[in-house]
Amino acid sequence: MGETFSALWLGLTVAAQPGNLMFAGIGVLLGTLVGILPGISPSLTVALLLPVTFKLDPTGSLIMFAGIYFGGMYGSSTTAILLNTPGEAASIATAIEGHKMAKAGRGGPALSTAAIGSFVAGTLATLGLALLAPLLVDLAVQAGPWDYFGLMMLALVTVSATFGDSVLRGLTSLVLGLVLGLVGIDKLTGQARLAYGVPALLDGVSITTLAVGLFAMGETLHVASRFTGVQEKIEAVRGSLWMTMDDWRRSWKPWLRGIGLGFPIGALPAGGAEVPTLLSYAVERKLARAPNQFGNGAIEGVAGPEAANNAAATGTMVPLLALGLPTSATAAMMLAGFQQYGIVPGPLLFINSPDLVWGLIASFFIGNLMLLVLNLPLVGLWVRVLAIPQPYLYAAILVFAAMGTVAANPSTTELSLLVVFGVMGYLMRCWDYPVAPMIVGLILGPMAEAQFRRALQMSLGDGLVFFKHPSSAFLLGLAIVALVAPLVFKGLKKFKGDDA
Amino acid sequence: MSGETDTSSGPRPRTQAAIGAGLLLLALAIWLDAARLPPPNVVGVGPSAPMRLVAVLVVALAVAHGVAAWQRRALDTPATQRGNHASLAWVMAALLGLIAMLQLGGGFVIGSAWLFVGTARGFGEKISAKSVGIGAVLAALVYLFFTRVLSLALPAGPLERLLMG
Repeated sequence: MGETFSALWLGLTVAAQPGNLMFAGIGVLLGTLVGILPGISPSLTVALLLPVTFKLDPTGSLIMFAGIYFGGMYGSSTTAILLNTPGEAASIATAIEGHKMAKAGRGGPALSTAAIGSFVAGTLATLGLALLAPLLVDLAVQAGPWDYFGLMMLALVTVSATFGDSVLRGLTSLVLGLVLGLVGIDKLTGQARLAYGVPALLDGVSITTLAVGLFAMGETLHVASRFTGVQEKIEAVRGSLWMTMDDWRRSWKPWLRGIGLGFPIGALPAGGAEVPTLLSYAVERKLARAPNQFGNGAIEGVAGPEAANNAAATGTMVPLLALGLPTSATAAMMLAGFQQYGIVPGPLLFINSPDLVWGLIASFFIGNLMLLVLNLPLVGLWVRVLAIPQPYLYAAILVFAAMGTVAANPSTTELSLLVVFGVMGYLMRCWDYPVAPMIVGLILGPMAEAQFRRALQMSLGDGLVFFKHPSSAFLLGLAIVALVAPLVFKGLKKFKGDDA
Repeated sequence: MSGETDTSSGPRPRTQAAIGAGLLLLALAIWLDAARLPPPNVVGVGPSAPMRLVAVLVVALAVAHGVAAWQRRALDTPATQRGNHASLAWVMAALLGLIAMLQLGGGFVIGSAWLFVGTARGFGEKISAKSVGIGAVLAALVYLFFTRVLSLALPAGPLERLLMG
């Protein structure tokens, strides 16, 4: 415990260096600026801004990254409240209650409870991360490749079964990601797979290209296909920004409950902030003194889900930093950020570069504080960003997307790949396939493959090795349960006859 | 919330069956590529084993798509979604135009300006001096920021060489 706090202190001294403070500040501002644009989720914010960090030193760039991430989440909730367009599923609850509040002239308190709740949640969850990660690292150093493989299988299954509402479509998206993960030169033998003689494919499919294609291009094409020429109406922030005593009284318990739901679920390899935010919304509706206010602008319905969202996002950093395991699309993008410097998150990173890891963790505190201090006063500016006419907005998104891809890899092949993924993202949106599992599949697939083959090498080709170790057998068993359970529940529902 | 209208979302049965067929083709392509690789000479498994594993998964999903489509065949309705094809075509033309211009050495600024103008046209903004101007200025600023501040290379054409002197 004492060790953790001295490590955290070390991290704070790293993060508080003027240069790193500046990176955190730029990250927070850029993240909010991009995240506030309607239709842009935090993971897309991270993907679009990844090229900006290419030339920085690793610590500074990762700190900026964390700022971008938290800024993007903050921006997303602002858009949800003022425009009723949740950038991601995790903001749906905020959009329901927050937008009603804004319509009733209580946009200020809605934004405040979201911002302060996110700050409280981010701070407490970061503390949880700092306490939990070293424990997990101690466990992880004893784990064999079979354990990692089991854990990755569990993560893959839960990510695709919990995103979206169809297990089949989620798994299809995931497996397509696994297929893309196979493309390129095999790292162990140097043989090319599925490259069909295209030189650009030998390096494999870039995670940034896939994410920007699926999210930015796919979303733009989808919006274009449904374009009617009507601009969405922005709710102006009227009245006081400040929360009344009553607002505070009604907010603090939902914040804490949101953290209690968000952090553990985020830290599990189940991933995603979607489940805890919706859970939090349901819990607050049950516990509210005046449940009939829900659906008409109840502040509890903004406070709880926003805190849960932020806590879950910080929670996903636990498996990412301690095990190198990304369990959400955003965590996958963060991992891509690590990989551009050849940094492999996991137990070894805690031992080899403690200043980087703890600097990053400490910068979560600083990023959250900056968000609180910068964003509420700047809300007028952010509202003006929302007023950019739709044609210019989407045109600029496509220019940034193309620019980032070309800057990372200057070839028309890469750009063509981006457009292909864009069309794929468009079709997946049309047919209701979730896109996030595909991104997690692309990054986790090759990692799982490496562990799979290492385990088989160590066991001299004995395929039963995964079931001989109780820990990996348990994890694989859990993965199978996670795969089958939704199907069984669906069957039960059908049996009861309420599967309308 | 979501999840309650489960059966109405997702592709129509006919589309779903077509996706299943597409997945079968994908599995075949993976399997053929795996067969091309030489057998592993190391302990454990070589690079082709995971490919076969994934191919089997893809086949399983293809079958599941087929079965689901068959079960829901009664729900098959004629396509009701009438999307805005003109907008979609403009955005696609803007993207393909950018690729063509970069391929022909037109440079990033001209290509991006076209991308901007074409996309804005797709979203109902007439092609005018205003949208061309905004697109060109944005593309030039982005180009300068990336090449000067971040020292990343973006494809250069005649305009870029003029800009950089």
